[in-house]
Amino acid sequence: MKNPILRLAILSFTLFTAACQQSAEWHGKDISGLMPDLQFELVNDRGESVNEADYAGKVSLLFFGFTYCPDICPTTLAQLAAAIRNLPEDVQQQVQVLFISVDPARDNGERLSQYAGAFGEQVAGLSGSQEQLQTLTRRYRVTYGYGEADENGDYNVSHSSAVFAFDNTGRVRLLIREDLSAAQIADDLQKLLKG
Amino acid sequence: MQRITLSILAILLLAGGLAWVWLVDAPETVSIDQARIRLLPGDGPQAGYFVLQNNTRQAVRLQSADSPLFNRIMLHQTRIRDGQSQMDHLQGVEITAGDSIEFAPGGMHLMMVGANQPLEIGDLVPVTLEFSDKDNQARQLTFEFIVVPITP
Ligand SMILES: [Cu+2]
Repeated sequence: MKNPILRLAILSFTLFTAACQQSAEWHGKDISGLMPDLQFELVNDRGESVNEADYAGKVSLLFFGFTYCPDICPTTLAQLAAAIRNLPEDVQQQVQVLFISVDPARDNGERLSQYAGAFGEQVAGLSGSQEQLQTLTRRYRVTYGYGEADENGDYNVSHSSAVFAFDNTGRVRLLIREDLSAAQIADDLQKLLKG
Repeated sequence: MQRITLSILAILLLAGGLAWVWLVDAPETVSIDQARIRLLPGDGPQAGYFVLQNNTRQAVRLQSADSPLFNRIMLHQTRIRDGQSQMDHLQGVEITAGDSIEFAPGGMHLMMVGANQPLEIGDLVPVTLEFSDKDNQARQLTFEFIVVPITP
């Protein structure tokens, strides 16, 4: 779709129909009460220690990945970024994507900030020590692991593909699968923002 | 009577035209569509995507890829099992006669490692794909991949 007007028309139509479907149904999976509230000790892309209080008051989307991941991680992040851009401009700032690298050995602050920055200012790139990452992934019952390094020293990282959504009080609300469209995610974000 | 003659003439012309188009537009080869590299910042790996159409009358196998602008390129597939995502190496991908395959986000991709110069949106990157057929005849085809932004 190269025609920007056509694109805008389709986008408006999608938003319009999304707004008309005022059902209580979520596109993501409702996991309210099934997981603990947002809580973490991590390190941001400037090397500073951060925790959930630094991101309080926003709807948070928690996603695990690594920057040497050119396929699924950027696909998911681009999808989340597009969903945020689908929201009315005045509420876009109320959503925060927390991209957590589970590959701290390669993902230094500079890499994290470059990578996260490519998806817009709402995406923060965080990582931490193995202990901090283990604590966080255990808390949300996900895992990560490293493949064997090849002759070039490159290795693969397996990680959870899901996105955890928390409301602006830090309560866990939704599991967003990677196959939802940006419009569907935007629809869920709208409802989360309304409380 | 004249009408029938005209109709026959029209049909012959049309058929001839179609045959001509078929002969000219369907060379016995493998063609590519939507060849692109989705640009990520930094010196990490990039992902290449495309649709490959096998116009030949036999199965061909995509074996490997190579580009002067990258240290190496691997054929990868993202797999999601039980909510866990990882990338697997592909030894090759077969395309049956007349069929096509798609390398697309979240599935098969070219894992392009070690760009030896910074890439910019709109750059054209030559990528050579190596195929083999059932007689193990190797054939190389070079295509241009356009560098596109990561966000649509
Ligand atoms: Cu890959």
